[in-house]
Amino acid sequence: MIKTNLIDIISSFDAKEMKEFSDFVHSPYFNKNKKVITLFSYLKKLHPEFQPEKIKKEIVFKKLFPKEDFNDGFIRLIIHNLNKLAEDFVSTRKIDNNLYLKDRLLLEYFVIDKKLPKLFEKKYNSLKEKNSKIIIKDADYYINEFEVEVLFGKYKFLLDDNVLNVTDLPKEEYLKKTEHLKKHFFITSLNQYRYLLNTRTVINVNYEDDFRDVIVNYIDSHPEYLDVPVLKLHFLELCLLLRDDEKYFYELEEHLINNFHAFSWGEKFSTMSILENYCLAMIYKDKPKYYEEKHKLHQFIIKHKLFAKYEGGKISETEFHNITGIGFRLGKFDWVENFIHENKDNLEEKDKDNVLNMSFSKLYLAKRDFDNALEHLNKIQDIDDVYYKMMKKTITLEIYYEKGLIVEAFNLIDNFKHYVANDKITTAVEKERVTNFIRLTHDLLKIKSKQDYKSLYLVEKELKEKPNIFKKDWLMKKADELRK
Amino acid sequence: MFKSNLIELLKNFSPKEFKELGDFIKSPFFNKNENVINLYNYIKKYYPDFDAEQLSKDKVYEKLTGKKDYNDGFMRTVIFNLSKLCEDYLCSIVKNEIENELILLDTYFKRGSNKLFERKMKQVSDFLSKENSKDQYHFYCLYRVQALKMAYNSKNRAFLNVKDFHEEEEIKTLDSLLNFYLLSSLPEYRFFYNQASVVNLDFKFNFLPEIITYLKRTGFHKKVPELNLHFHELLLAMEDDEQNYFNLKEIVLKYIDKYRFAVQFNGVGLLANKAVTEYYKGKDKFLDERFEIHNLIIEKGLYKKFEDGFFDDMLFKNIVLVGLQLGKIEWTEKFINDNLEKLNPDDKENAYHLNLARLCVYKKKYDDSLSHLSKIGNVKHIHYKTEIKILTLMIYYELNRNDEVITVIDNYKHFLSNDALLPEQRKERNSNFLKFTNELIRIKENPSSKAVYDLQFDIKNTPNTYEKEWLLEKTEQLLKLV
Repeated sequence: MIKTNLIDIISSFDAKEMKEFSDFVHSPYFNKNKKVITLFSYLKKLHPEFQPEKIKKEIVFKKLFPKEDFNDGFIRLIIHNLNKLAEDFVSTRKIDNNLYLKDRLLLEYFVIDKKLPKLFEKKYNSLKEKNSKIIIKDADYYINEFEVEVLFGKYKFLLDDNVLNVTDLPKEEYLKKTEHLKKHFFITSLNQYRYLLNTRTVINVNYEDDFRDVIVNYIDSHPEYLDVPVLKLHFLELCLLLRDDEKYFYELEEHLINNFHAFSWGEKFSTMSILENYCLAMIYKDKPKYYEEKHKLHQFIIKHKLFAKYEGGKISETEFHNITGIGFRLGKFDWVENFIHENKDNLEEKDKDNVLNMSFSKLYLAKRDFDNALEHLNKIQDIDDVYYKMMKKTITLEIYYEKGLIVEAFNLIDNFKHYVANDKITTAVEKERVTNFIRLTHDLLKIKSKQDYKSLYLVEKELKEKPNIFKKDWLMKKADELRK
Repeated sequence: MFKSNLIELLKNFSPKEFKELGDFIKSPFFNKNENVINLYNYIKKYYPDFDAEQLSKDKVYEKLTGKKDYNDGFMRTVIFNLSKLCEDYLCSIVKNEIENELILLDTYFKRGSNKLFERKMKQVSDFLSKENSKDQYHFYCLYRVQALKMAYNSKNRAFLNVKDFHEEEEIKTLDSLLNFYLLSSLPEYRFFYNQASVVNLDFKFNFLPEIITYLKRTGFHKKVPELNLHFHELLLAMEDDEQNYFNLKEIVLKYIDKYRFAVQFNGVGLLANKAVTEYYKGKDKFLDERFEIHNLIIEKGLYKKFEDGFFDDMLFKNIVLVGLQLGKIEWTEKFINDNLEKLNPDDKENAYHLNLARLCVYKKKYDDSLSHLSKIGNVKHIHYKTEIKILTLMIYYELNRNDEVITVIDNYKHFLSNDALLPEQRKERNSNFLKFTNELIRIKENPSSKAVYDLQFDIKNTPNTYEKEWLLEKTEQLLKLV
């Protein structure tokens, strides 16, 4: 079969791109090789399926050169050339749409390649005017500004050495240049740090970097940098993750909502994840108002379809369960049911069945229809996500408890304990949370099965006093039922 | 001829570029407008001067359309489209290979073409790991690649296990980002500090103290040779500690051949500047240091701002000055002869006469020296102006034209007090020279050994004095007279 790289690239092209690529292949600037055009014309007809039997090298060679003997070296060369053209097409198309890069390349040509001061100045001035109108000032904006000023510096250095007067020295530009670079650095590094810190809240990794503190302390004492919306966003995210102060939650939420237009999709999505994670952490610290806060965030997510890291992306199974879980907790069963029906098509096809089964299982559980809940749960298969696995075990345990399947429940508890003990990815806090749930469910089951209520007060005491217990509300409810 | 950016741009195209532009314009991917192709075909006959009468807008219009009633709107649109294509063509030739690869990587990631992404990731990572030059762009590319890898992993991999989380990669990403930032910003800061010692600049950088403290505490800079160099350059420019000079000199001499031209140029230039500063603080050993650094500059060809540039005329002047101050007249004469042709043709004439004028002073050929000074034309650099005045004074003194010495001193004092560009230390350096020359004249007219000894003492104990060696030599001559 023809080198998969080429097929992989051109099969990713849509019809419009394929048409443009055809122009590209026929462009003498990029290609004057007629054989390459012939190969492209043949492959074009097979787009996008490219049935394997039709793209075998021997078959393609015969189609292209019916009168000649198969020459492997020759066909490989043509394929290589077309592959190179496909890559050039992708990057050229991208550059064509990247105004930052295009303008910078031109400035570079004027100052470095040709040393044309007049053309440089003209382009530089028009570019500065254009950039002054940009509203979204993100890391790309600042690195571009920096690079433009670097070129301006080169222009001064290489093409203008008439330093006769103080005013000839481009002091302001040089100072601006270091500021642009600094802002780019702050935005990108705060973004990376908050990614790591946020990851640490869900995955058990430790990472210390003291340059992070250098930056954070510096911005603390130079609040003028917070005039840059993206920088402020990442700074508040980091403060929220580092400082454990609720005021940052509200500041961050307000900043995100008030400056929604100033952020990229990815930024909005990741900020939302951080806010959600914070709510969850607060919930496990026994601050129930964060159920409502989280639900508010979910409504905002649904309204803006902020389901994935990329615009138009599908909703993750974890997020789907988060949304339904909080809805159940707040007793908004109709809202949840409505959400499931309206958003089931926003799920990845591969996850859809499992997620819907899990969601319906939870819905039926909440409605106390245990058989239906179990039926849906049993339909879940081939799962590999660690939290998903835990969720399945938790719900199953709840159902067993509710249905009075004591033996099955004890068996599951043993299995669950073993699973948690061997898991190395879950953070210590989460392990503790799940372990508490398992242990307390075990205690309640024991009380329930032996009908010996003497130790019930111990369970109730622990539930009342101890934070970080998974499904605490349910456990309390069950303890209450036993007391009655 | 119609005047436009287009013509100005095309005039500077090489024949190869102009031919390639033809292919570019005829490429359906970029252009399907026949009028634009026709305009190119028509004006190409007049490349590269484009000054024929046939290039007036109405003539071109007639040629393109066959119509006589000129339509300015049409012409402007066609010219605009051709200009735009020229710019697009230039972008296509300037873009570099690694930028191209990063664009592909980013595109594959965003399209979710995982196989293509992984293949390209391997290629780009291999390429970067083999790169010799570990400069700021290397680390910026590395950062971008690593950040994309992180994003890819986060998008495509389930965290089933601790090994699914690539902590080392995360740290590498942050290190690359910090390396990029430091490699980009430290030279900027250093440039400013260095400029401040040459011309009068008042500025304050925030965040720099935090960086310096961090690097001193952690030694982060030591992992990357170029960063290590920049850090020591910055310390040299910022801190008034002689030891920083020798620390930097050690690094430069040890690794000079491993750095790019621009990095070598800046590193050695900084050493040269620091040696000047230390010398004018009264540390005589730095005259020898200056001479040593000048020899390194000459040996490595670091006397030009860029690789295909000309010998910097200010540096040329300084090399001559130091050579003569150390009494190396033959060496200096040979240096001038060997290197004069390396100067910018625009500067050569003035540089020749200025440096010959100084050489003649040291050879005691004062009339020749005056003659050279008189041939210096318009000067564009302030230091040329001060140099000419100093030399004139020295010559007048040697020729016993005392009244003229007094007049030049008055005139020069006035010039210094009105100038806004020279930094204070340079003004002081010149003022001290004027003060001592004035004293020399006064003693010359009423000689007394006490006065000469007092003056000699003062000169020896006054740092930051221009032409100190010459002034002391003159006091010795006066002592012989009394």
